[in-house]
Parts: sequence; structure tokens; C-alpha cells
Amino acid sequence: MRALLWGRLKGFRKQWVLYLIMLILPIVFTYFFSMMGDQSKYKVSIVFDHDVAVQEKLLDELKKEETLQLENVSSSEMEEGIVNGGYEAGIYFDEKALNKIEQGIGPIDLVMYRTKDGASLELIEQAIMKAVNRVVNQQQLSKTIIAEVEGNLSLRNVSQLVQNAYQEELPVTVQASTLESETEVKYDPQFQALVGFTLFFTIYTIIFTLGEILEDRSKNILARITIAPVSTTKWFMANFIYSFLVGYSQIFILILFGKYVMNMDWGDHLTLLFTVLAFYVMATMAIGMLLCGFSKNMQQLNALTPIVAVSFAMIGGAYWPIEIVSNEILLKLAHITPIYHAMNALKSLVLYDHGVTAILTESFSLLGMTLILIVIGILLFKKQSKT
Amino acid sequence: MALLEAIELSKTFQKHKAVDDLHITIREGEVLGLLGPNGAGKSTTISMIASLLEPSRGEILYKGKSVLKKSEIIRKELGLVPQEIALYPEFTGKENLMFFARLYKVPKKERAERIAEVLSIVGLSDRASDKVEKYSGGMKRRLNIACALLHKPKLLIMDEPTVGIDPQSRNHILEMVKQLNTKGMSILYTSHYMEEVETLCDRIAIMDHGSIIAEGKKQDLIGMVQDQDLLYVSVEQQVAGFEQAVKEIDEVLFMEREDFRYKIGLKQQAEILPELFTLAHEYGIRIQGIDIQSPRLEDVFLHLTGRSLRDE
Ligand SMILES: Nc1ncnc2c1ncn2[C@@H]1O[C@H](COP(=O)(O)OP(=O)(O)O)[C@@H](O)[C@H]1O
Ligand SMILES: [Mg+2]
Repeated sequence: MRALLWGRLKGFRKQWVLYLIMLILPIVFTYFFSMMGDQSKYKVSIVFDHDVAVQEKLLDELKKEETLQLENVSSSEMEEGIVNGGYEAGIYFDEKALNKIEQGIGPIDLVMYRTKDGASLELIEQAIMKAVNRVVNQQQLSKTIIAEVEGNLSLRNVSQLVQNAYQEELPVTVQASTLESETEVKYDPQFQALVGFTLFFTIYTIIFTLGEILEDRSKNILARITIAPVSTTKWFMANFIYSFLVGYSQIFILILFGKYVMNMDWGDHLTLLFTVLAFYVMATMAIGMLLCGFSKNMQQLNALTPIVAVSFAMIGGAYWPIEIVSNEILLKLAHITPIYHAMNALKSLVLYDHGVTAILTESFSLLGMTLILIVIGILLFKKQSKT
Repeated sequence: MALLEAIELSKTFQKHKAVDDLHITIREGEVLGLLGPNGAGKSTTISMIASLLEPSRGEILYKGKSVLKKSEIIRKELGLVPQEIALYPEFTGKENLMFFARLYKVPKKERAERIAEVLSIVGLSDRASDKVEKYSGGMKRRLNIACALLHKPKLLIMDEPTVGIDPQSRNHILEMVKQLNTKGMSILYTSHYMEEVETLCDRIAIMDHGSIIAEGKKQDLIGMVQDQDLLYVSVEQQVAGFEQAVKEIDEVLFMEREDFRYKIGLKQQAEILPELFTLAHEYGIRIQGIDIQSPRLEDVFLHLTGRSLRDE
């Protein structure tokens, strides 16, 4: 076993270029995508027709929308800014709308100024409506409570009322298609990019290093190993350990790079984070073993791997957040990818600061996947070797 | 004494019978040549003997014990030189040897010594630190053999160890096999080159279509064809019908054409020259040369199968 591992590690010099490339690409892509993330903040001007009490609250909520960069201006400033391209759009809150918001009643009509059509306008519209809706909701709720309190309400019923109010449909329907009540989703473009691309690119290193077993077989080195006083189980183990070391070290370096060079905050659960990532590497190895089981030689594995890696990255949420996917089938399919489970677990740990319980399910999924696929992969590989 | 015995050995791939009811015996201390054209089933036989491939039927005994039941008994005393070059090209010669020495559990203290020893046996001492991908075909073949010698095997199985290499490397390998045998190693030497087997082997088994069609000492095998003579006839041009006419002569056993030369098998002492000249005259052919030879091992295969070993 030590001899086999020694051989593999010595053979790594054949693969260090691949290793380096797969180490650099996630970093490059992360910078690239984070930069695009900055560009996706839209400069929007806001005009209030007159001053109302709710104005402050409205601005606060609007600022929470990460896609918007807001400026509260006068209407002439807005017109000028839109015409010369300083603002992508302007939102005009007229007297009627402001009053309705203040009282928490819909529907509310807002006027959006813009120069030309663009995909971004829909996103702006969406963000504005989400913020306005939140304010209208709050206004309505406080109004109801005040009304009820004025009319002799026992305190016990207040909590009841609060709950009811939140369960109600949103009272504002500015544009039906873009209105959706949802639990708040946390999105950090840098986290998404670095984790996504790390998980994606390591698939290649993990599977290609594991693919050495195909090389051993086609070069007949496997025959020599079989005759030698070492079991094939140990040969598989040595390959798994090798593949794991290569893949895991790569992830480790990238996480540290994120922490110390990109100043990313990985949260307070670093041990859990690295545990989940270890499970991820194992599950990816198992996928690799399955692919090796299907492949006659390295060339076939080389052809299969990108197909699997790219489709897993797409449906598993490595390229973009899985939250933007609404197709039921795709969401179900996502579960077959290790990326989906790892991504979910990491989000729980880093973005939502959940602890160990939040990642149990995902960890078990990854482990289960590992065991099942490795066994199937080895059986297929052995069958393939006999003919 | 039989070191290894294969009995009624058969292997069927899908529907194709690669090895069919094969019997073979390797005696202690001998070089047994396994001769056969490509596709005869030599490699398949070797894989089964080396316990790498499960036979469809039959038994393999090593020192009287079943290899199929317990493969370890042969594995630890077996050196295998696979037909493919089973080496890591990105490793140096020495690194390859180090890898296999560790794999075969050569004790740490002896490793360096063993590696130096096999390197000198195969004549690669001065190129040991070069990467294998820089080696010539012949050097790769030699290192391929060296890797099988590290653990001092009792039985060495070589699967076509000289395919596609320069005459110098080839001679080196043949010489080396003789040396190893002198030191007491039993060897199964597979080849489709007649001359190699002829010079090297104590006994020869000829294989075709999955079974042994003849087996014995070189002289015994030649004896099988001793009752015939070979007549080589060179002509200036070919004329249709001539070949057919010659074949119809009673004493002619077979006739083959190689460009402008005919190889004709005759019953021993047969006298067909007058008839041959008459026919040549009839067909307007000028005979340029005639040569009569007594048979060689190469002709045994032709005699047994009606095909020549080479063209396969
Ligand atoms: N794994 C296999 N699957 C199917 N057919 C095979 C396999 N290995 C060998 N054969 C067939 O068995 C026959 C014998 O092959 P082989 O033992 O390699 O011959 P040789 O070594 O004498 O050239 C050939 O016809 C070959 O095509
Ligand atoms: Mg062969």
C-alpha cells in the first residue's frame, strides 16, 4: 500500500500543471465574477413628490436592496441624470402613492423613468417593488394594531394579530408578475463565485488523478500489481487516498486564499466547513470511480469528465445560485450532484451562520452517495477489466 | 518434474473460443517455447496461468497444487513480462524498478543491490536515470523484463518480449534468457518468431486457434516434416495455369508462391525436375534457379496448418 501510494505521489509531477491550472482558474473566475457583481448595482434616482413621515422608512428599505445604488434627488436632477446616462432609471413617488404607502393600502402606482429598454430595468422594478411592499406591509400591520388597541384589545390577541397580518397576501400589487413573497435569500457574489468555481474545477483534478487506475489497466501495470503480494483493494485505496489528497489540498489552498488574500469571511465554523469539504471530495471521487467504471481507457474518461463536471456545475448551483432556479425538475435533479449538497451546507455555515445540525442532512447525502457510487464503480471497473 | 501443468484449459470470450482444450507442461529448469501466430491464444493462455484471468474450463497446477484455488502459490514465484510495455513512461528506469521492488516487497536493504543487478542483466545501467519516455523501443522492452526479475522468480513468463525492436536489443534479450536459464530459472517464452524459439528453447509447443497442435524437442518437430523435401524454383515471369499444373503432379504436397519464387513441398526423394521443366516449357516460362533444401522448423507450421507462420 505504501509502495503504491509512493508510486502515485511520484507520478504527480505528470499532473502538477493540471493542478496549477485548476488552482488558478477558480481565483481568476472569482475575480472576474465579483467584478461583474459590482457592475450589477444599478444607479437609481428616487424623487419624493412631498415629504411624508414614511419617507425615512422607505429609503431604509430601498437601501437594503443590494442590486440598487440609490440617490434621493429632485425631479429636475433626475431628468438630467437619466438623459445624460448618470442614472439607469428614476422612480417617482407621487403624492397619491406616498399617501397610500403611508396608510398601508394598495394598489400603488409608481412611475419609472428611463431612457431605453433593457433587461436591467426589470431587475430594478423588482427590487423597488420588494422594498415598497415591505413598507406597505409594516404600515398596514401597525395601523391594524393601533386600531385594535384603540378598541380594547387584550394583549394576548396582539401576537395573534401580528401572525395573521404576516400570513396575509401582500396588499400591494403593482405588477403581478414580479410580486412574490419569499423568505429572504442571502447572496454573496464573492462567496458564490469562489466556492462555486472551487467545487467545479476540483472535479477535474479529483477525477483525472483517480483516472490513473485506467492508465494502470491499459498499460498492463495492473497485471503486475495483481501478481505482486498486494491486494487490489489496497490498490484502489491507494488511488483514492492519492486523489483525495490532491483534491482536498487544492480546496484547502483556495479556501485559505479566500480568507487571507480576498479577505473573505468563512464564519465561525471552520472545522465543520472543512469536514463538509472532505465529504465533497469523497463524493466527487465516487463519481469519478463510477466514470472509470464506464470508461475503457483514459481517453474515454477525458471525454466524459467535462460533460459531467459542467452539467453538475450548472444544475448543482456552482455557476449561479441555485435559488434562481425555479424549475421543479431541475431542482430535483440538483440533488444528484455533490455540488448541490456541498454548496447548501457551506451556505448554512457561512452565510446563515448555522451550526452542525444544519449540515447533517447534506453530509449524510454526500457520504451515502460516496458509498453507493464507489461500490458500483468498482464493480463496473472489475467487470470491464475481465473482458 | 512438471513445474507447471495446464490441463484442458479453455477460455471463451463471448462466443469466441480463444483457448480451446489446451494442455501444456513446463518442466523445472527448462525453456519452453510457445510458438504461434497472432491471435493463436498465447497471451490468453499466459493470463490464465498467471492467475490474472479465470479460465472457462480446466485446471492449472503449480508444483502439483491448484492455482485456481489459491493463486498465491504461483504469484510469489512468478515473474511476468507482459506483451505491452507495463512501465510508467514519466518515471526514470530506476524509479520504475524502485516502484516494482517495493511492490514485490524486496527488503529495503536489498533493494538498491537488486536494482543494480537487474539493470546490469538487461544492460541498462548507464541509462537508469533517464526517463523511460526517452528510451528506444528496445530499451523499454529490456526494462520491461528487468521489472519482472526483481524478486528472483522461479518461473519467468515472457509474452513476445522482442516484438518490434532492433536486432541488437533482440540478441541481448535472447542471450539474457539463456543466462537466466543457466542459473536455474524456468522460462515460458512466447513468440511468433521461429528463429528465436529455435535457438532458445529446449522444447517447443506450437499453438494455433487456441490449442497446441504439436509439441516436443526441436528435432522431434522437424522429424514430423522430415519425410519431405523443399524445392525452391525461381522464375522470370508468372503465367496463369502453371501453378495449378505443378500442383497436379503426384509427388507435390503443397506449393506456395512468393513473388517470382515458388516453394514446393515434395515427397522425400521425389524426382520431379524433368516434369517441371517440361511444364515450364509448355507454359513458356524460363526457370532461373532451382534450390533443394531439407526442412527446417519453420516448415512444421506450414506442414501442420497449410499456412505459414509469417503472413499471419
Ligand atoms: N478480452 C478479450 N475479449 C474478447 N476477445 C479476446 C480478448 N482477449 C483476446 N481475445 C481474442 O482471443 C484470441 C486470442 O488472443 P491472444 O491470446 O491475445 O492471442 P496471441 O497472444 O496469441 O496473439 C484473439 O482472437 C483475440 O481477438
Ligand atoms: Mg499476444
